[in-house]
Amino acid sequence: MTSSGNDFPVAPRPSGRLIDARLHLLDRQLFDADDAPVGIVDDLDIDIPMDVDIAGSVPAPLVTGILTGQVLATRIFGGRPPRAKLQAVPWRLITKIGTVVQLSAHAQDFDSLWLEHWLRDHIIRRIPGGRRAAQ
Amino acid sequence: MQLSELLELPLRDAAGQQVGTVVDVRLAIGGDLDDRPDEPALFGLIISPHTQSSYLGYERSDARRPTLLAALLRWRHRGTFLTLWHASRVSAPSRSYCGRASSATRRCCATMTNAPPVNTKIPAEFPAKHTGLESTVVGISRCGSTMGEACRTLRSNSPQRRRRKRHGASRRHSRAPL
Repeated sequence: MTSSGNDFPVAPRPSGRLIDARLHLLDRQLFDADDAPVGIVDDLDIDIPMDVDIAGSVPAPLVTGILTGQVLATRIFGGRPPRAKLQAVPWRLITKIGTVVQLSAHAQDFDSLWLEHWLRDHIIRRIPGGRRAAQ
Repeated sequence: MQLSELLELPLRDAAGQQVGTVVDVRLAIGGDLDDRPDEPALFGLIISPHTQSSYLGYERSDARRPTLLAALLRWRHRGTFLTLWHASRVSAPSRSYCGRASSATRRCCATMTNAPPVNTKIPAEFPAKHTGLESTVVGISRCGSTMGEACRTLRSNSPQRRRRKRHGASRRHSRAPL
């Protein structure tokens, strides 16, 4: 299916792969270096220059990182979580983009998992058998 | 700036009329996606004149199945186009529309060239006789913003705009600028 059969000229082909952020990145699951899920891609940090003329030789803005965090409330009630509630993951930590986004960091490096860590340390481990991982 | 601040932004033409909404952002990634890909560069904005929802990737290919879903999406996203963020072949902007927003509205805006938009379909290869007729974003400004609000208005020409000019219509948009 083409885009409504318009007669627009074909876009130039840049070097590298073309992906659509909303389609290929948002809501993808994040896996840490041990293949443990550590969240999803909630947003992207884009280095867009403000108040400057970007025509001509100014390079295109770069995506500097992805943002993950607690967004359940805003998903249900609408709006956007404050920036402080999101954890920035620098792009250099991304090792693979596919059906999931693989990171080189480890789960304990993510502050966004504090609730899960707190539940693990204060509740789950007090349950008989809760101190060892399921086999 | 966050991606969520760009998505669902209204796009306005030179006359201030709303011509569409940013439904997605196209990125160009260098390197291998499976082995530490490079930082993506913003390639362009996908604009839909009729809806704020995603096109689900249908605009990227010739997929026509399932027929019912394809027909529904094609109808909902009719007129969707891609406006390039930056292209080295693009000539200097023929017009600058980013008017100074009043302090009352604290409106932010972007300026784009007056060239036509381009197809959202991803080409198989770089066209040999590309004419450079892209619509490109040439600036984003935080006009009069003191509250840290993000850009709220983008401006560009669009198929709707060109169609209106062709038919001599002067329909006013009903949605007030944010």
